[in-house]
Amino acid sequence: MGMKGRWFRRRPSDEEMREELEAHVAMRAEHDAIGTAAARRRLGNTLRTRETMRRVWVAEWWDALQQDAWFTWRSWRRQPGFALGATLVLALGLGASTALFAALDRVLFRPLPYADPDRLVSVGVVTFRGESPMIQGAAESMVDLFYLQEWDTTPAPFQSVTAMGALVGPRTCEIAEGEPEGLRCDLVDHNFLRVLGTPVALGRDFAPEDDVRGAPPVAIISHALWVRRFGTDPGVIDRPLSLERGSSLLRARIIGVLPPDFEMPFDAGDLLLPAGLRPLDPKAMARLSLTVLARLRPDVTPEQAKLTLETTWPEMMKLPSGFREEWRVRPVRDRRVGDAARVAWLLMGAVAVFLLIACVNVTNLMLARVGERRREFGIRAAIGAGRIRLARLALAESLLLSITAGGLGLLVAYSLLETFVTMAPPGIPGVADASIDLRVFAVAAVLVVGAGVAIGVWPAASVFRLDELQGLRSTATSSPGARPRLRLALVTTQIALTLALLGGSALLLRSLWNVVSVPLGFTAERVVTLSASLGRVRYPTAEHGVTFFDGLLERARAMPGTVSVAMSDSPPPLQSSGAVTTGWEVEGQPVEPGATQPYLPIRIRSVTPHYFETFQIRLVHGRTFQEADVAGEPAVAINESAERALFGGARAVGHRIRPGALPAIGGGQPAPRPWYTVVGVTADVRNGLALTDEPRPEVYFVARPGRWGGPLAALAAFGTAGGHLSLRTTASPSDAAAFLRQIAADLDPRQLVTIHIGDELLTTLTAQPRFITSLLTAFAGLALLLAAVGLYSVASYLVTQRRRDIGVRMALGASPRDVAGHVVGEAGGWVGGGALLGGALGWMGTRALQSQLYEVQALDPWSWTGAFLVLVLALLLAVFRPTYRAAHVDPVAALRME
Amino acid sequence: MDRQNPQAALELLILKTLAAGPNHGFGIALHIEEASSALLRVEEGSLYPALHRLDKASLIDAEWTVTPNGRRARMYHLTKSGRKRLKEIEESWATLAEGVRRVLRWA
Repeated sequence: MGMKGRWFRRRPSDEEMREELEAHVAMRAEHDAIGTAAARRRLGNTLRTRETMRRVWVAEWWDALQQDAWFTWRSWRRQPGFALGATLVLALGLGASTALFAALDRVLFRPLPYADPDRLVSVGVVTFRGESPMIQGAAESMVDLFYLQEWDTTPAPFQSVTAMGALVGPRTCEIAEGEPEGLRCDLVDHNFLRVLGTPVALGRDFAPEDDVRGAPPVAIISHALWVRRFGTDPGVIDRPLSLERGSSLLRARIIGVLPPDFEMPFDAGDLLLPAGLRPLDPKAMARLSLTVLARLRPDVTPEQAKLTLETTWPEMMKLPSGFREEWRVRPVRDRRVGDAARVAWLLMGAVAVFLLIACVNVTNLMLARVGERRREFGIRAAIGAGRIRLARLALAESLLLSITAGGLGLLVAYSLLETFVTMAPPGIPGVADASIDLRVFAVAAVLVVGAGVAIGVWPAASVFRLDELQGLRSTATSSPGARPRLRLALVTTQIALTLALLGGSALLLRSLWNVVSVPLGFTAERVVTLSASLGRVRYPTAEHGVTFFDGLLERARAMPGTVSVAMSDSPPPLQSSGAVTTGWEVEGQPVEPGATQPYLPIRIRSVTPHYFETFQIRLVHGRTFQEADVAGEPAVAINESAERALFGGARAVGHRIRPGALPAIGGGQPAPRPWYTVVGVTADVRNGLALTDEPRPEVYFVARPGRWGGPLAALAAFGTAGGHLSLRTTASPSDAAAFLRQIAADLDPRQLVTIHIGDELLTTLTAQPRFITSLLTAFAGLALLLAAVGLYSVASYLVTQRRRDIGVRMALGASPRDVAGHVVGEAGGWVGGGALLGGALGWMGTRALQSQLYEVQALDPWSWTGAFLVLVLALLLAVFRPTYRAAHVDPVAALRME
Repeated sequence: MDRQNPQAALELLILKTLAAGPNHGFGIALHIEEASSALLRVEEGSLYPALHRLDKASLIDAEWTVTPNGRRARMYHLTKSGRKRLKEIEESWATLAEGVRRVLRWA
């Protein structure tokens, strides 16, 4: 108070302003000795003066906004049903879009956490056999020989190149000290992080001398591992870490920690080790396959780089005829995301359609309200409210609605995202890290404003078409319609979009049904599988491994409820350990002279005698393995596909077969392999990467823990490579699992084991179709509900509006049945129009869906008919009440109304 | 109070009036009329918005008091920054007036 100005200027209230002016008028009247009226005239228009005074303190827009908000709030309180319904509908649409954006942002939009990630490409070749890649879905790779010999200087289209190990032994390694922990370890060239443009957060990067074969081992650990294992201790640098990697034990010195936001390009990783590629040994028998990453020169596109590589190096390796190599250069993001991008776009498209439907629905409700409020608006217009002011009010209402819905939508998004993350199939990168961060929030805000404007435009525009006189003239009972034709068009659009969604989800449901009902060739419901990979440290020789697995087998057999137990190098449905052999021969069927051995890839699996019984794999001919086969004559069982491939239509049992000869080491004659007698033929088992892959030829060898089960190194004894013990039980599978875990812990408390119960593995394989199908079906179901609500509201409104017409018709002798028929017929017209449009939309949209469909065509008549019937049924329910009301109009009352 | 403001003159007169002591709106209007020997007549419709503008700009302050006649009135008084601003405007106004006077003499 006093001389010191106040920090905060208090805004005088309207009452104070009025009082101040009144005081002035009184003083003027007294001073000039004139009447109050004259004094007031001298002051001029008091109302305007007061308004000007208010403007000094309050910006006009803010004032108007407050008024609009207040007005909207009052009108919502009068009609809570409308406000609640519209908010919920919009909140669902906005919430679902936000959650899905958050989940898929990393797949589709968010830049990879590397410097200039768009210039980072994956380079390599894919080997084709004929017209299709030799290995389905194989990524491009490069042989170390080529990488080091030909690329010792960076090739022209690239600024820098680096490599990481691919398919070199197990990617996993294990911490061999303290608490055992399985890690994902990657072998990288020393310049790997520098090419990606990622500096280490702590310590130092790899140096060229770390990467020389035989150099003292060093490691860079991930931020997560640093936190988890070392509690962010900065003293971790230079600390040695014992690691088991495959059959080797290494003691690596930790030299660096990766930054927290670093991600390996394709899979999650915990630890980086130098690959030790140099010096190159050109004579080494086994060649490494590398994943090569390169940074493009600024002016080069991936296509140009590919062209340069094709002309400079037409071929990387000499390949037999019928095979060829194709260069591939593509952004790291494309390779990382792979097929997930298509799925992601599909889901984004579906949620966009859903949001659109929600907006159309709310627009429709708003238009209905404009109709109801016509009288009120008419009065306002008549007493001088500008049309712009009324339009702004309508727009403000829609914005407020969408902001409220947006707030609620965030809550919806939070819970939906949680569901998505738990449901999401493996193979959608980054889903697990998805969260509603500032970026997602910004997108949600844009959606909210966009939706607010979208739902407000038509109601605002329709204000200009109001006829205030008509508004005043009309009585409350027959509120004339606000743009009924537009509302019908909206309902038709909504029906069309809904049909497209319904059709899409019907197709996916059929496809999913086809996928899950594929005959697998085995049953796993009551089977529990324990997997263990034994390290070299505690299991230096095969004998040590035998002790473990034999002990496990013996105790598992003795467990109550056990029906049968078997070990294998891989359980179905997963493909076998990856071992594929070629050049199989049948005894007595001489290979044509001069012809190369037939290229027939056959998967091989190494199993103990009770394998077939455990998985209930059907025996077609002959017999399954017996204990005697383990030590007796070399015996194999083959599946029906292999029998067809090797013997044509003939029976295989009793014949002898052998795999192609081992390539000779250091020149000379290839070493032939022994013959194996086929003792049995079994039914095909799904053994591809996906359940929907056709079964492939497969040969089973008899294996025994600790012994060479087959002729190939890949079938190495379980003793060192690790194995899978499967047990069929009559007890509860989860009890059996707990039992197994206990047995394993008794045998070796430090051994890491994984246990799968029953169909768990199968569920993983069908996770993607399940995810897509459930999301799309949920959207379609909600859309159907919204369409029904929309149709209901328009139909009831039209019936109300036409009460008089109906009354006249009935007075002239129309029966209630005629009236009902008329209403349903009219609604049928809109539904039919919507369905036609929806069919066309669906036809265009589902072509994108075809790649996700299994044994269903995008134009499958059953799915579309089903979708159409569901739609019609729901819409019939929606028009039931309006029709009933129309049929029960009392003609006398209707005619007396006006 | 920028030069472009058509109310600048009115605001100058208000500040000058208040420099003599606190006053209410009617008193300010009366003082301006009397001091200018009725040459200037305050447009009462713009007086109050101008007062509120000055109040919002912290150049003057207001409080409700009871006048000797027993009437409630909103009394305004200059603040420190108002006093400072008055001095500035008076100076620039004098300069402007002097400039105009010289030009007129030569015309």
